[in-house]
Amino acid sequence: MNNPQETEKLVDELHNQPYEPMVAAEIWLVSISLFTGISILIVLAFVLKN
Amino acid sequence: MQKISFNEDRSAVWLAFLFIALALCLPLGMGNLLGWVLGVKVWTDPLNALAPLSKSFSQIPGWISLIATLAFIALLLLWERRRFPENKKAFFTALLIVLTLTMIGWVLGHAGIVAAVPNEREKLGLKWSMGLTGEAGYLAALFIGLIIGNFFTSFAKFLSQAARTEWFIKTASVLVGAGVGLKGLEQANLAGTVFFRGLAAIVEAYLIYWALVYLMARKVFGFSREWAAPLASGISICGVSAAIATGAAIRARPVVPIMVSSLVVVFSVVELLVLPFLAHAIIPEEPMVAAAWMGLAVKTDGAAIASGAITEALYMAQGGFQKGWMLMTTTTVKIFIDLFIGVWCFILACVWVYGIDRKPGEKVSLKEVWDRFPKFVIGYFIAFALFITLGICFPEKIKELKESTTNLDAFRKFFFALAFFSIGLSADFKRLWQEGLGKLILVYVVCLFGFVIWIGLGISWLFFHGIMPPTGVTP
Repeated sequence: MNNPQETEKLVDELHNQPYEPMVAAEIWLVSISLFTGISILIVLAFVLKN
Repeated sequence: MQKISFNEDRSAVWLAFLFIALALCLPLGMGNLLGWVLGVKVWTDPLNALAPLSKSFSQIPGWISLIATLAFIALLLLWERRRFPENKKAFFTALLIVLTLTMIGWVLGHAGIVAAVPNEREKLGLKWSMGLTGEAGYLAALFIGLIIGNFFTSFAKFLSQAARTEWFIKTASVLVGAGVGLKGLEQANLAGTVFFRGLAAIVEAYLIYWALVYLMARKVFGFSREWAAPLASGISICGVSAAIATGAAIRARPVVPIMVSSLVVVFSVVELLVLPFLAHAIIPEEPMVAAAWMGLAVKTDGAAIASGAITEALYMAQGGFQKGWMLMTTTTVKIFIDLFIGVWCFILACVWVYGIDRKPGEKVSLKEVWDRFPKFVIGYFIAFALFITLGICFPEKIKELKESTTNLDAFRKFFFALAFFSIGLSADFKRLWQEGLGKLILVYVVCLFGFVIWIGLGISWLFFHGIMPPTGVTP
């Protein structure tokens, strides 16, 4: 059933997201992903072109 | 974040495996036990919308298949809730109504004027359609839920006992694993270049797009982790399944991935209508680059494959190429991306359990990790591994296995539709869309048109530049 309080909370969240600093796990996840991703693409492109 | 009921999580896995066990009776030679399940087609005449999914049940009228499907799901769900201390009669009545209303939404969403993509219009005798694909059924189910939730509140309260969003989401997510496993196996024997492009697509979608979109959502737009992760999966990976599975893996409230998914379905229409023509305009000499680009840039499976077909039609008109190569490339790229949803959810669940939800200095025991870990992710893996192993060990049974996954896919889609209906029932979605969507759209537009499609084009160019589909008459 429709819960007005929950809706208000969600709308408020979408307008003013609570400040949630990035923690170490997130920074690691993003950094490792980007580094690994770019490295693999370079290797794949090299393998394919040779 | 909402605490997820352990029982609901476990129950979803058991339920999904019951469907899988029944579906596997077909390759085991015990008959097509799920072939009677309802398949909803894109329609212009409602009488032609419904039919049993399997051709071996084509003599059964569509309405019988409809009733059988609803009754079967209702009885299974009732059986799964047998130990819960609720009024069984009221629960069953509410469940039947929820199932029926969701099915009405699902069928309405397949109306040709809403769902038909441009390359289907001629066959259906339509001059114009919105092109939302059959996934418009999710939006229609959501819309019906919204109407009831906002205008018939006491009825919505009665239905809410059976509208178990997370239960539906997780059951469907396990079923995704079965279909994806077999599709992956089918693509493994492709030509080297296409195969390499598929591998590159996985790397792009998960390791580059996801990370960049997540970073943008968190740092530039200030979204919390609960919003940023499903948003990153919805934009980077493959829309509805990815956003919903990610939301469940990080224990987000169900309304978050459902909002993201509905945005993805709407936006995929824009991509479908724009990207094939843009590709043809800017790279007229590179059909394979364009085809691969569609698989990577257009979200939702239906819209991606439709854009592959449109792209193929545009290029074939000028080049005399053999039919099927471009569409196969788009499909391969898309399927390769789909393959890793489960792996990615597993990684995210681990990062969230070990690195984010854990308090500083807290030691998490293995038992706690097991308790906190979403079981449906494990269910997904088992389903994925089971179907891929069966496909490898019994190649002569691939046709039957494929039919089994088609049957499972019908249930998977319907369970997702149930989740959309349940969210519509429980949230003032209209207000959320009106007031909250602006910021989500902004992230979507900035990321998609800012870098997702351009990186996709660049890497497609790198892998397919100069490669042409065979010319001549299609064999």
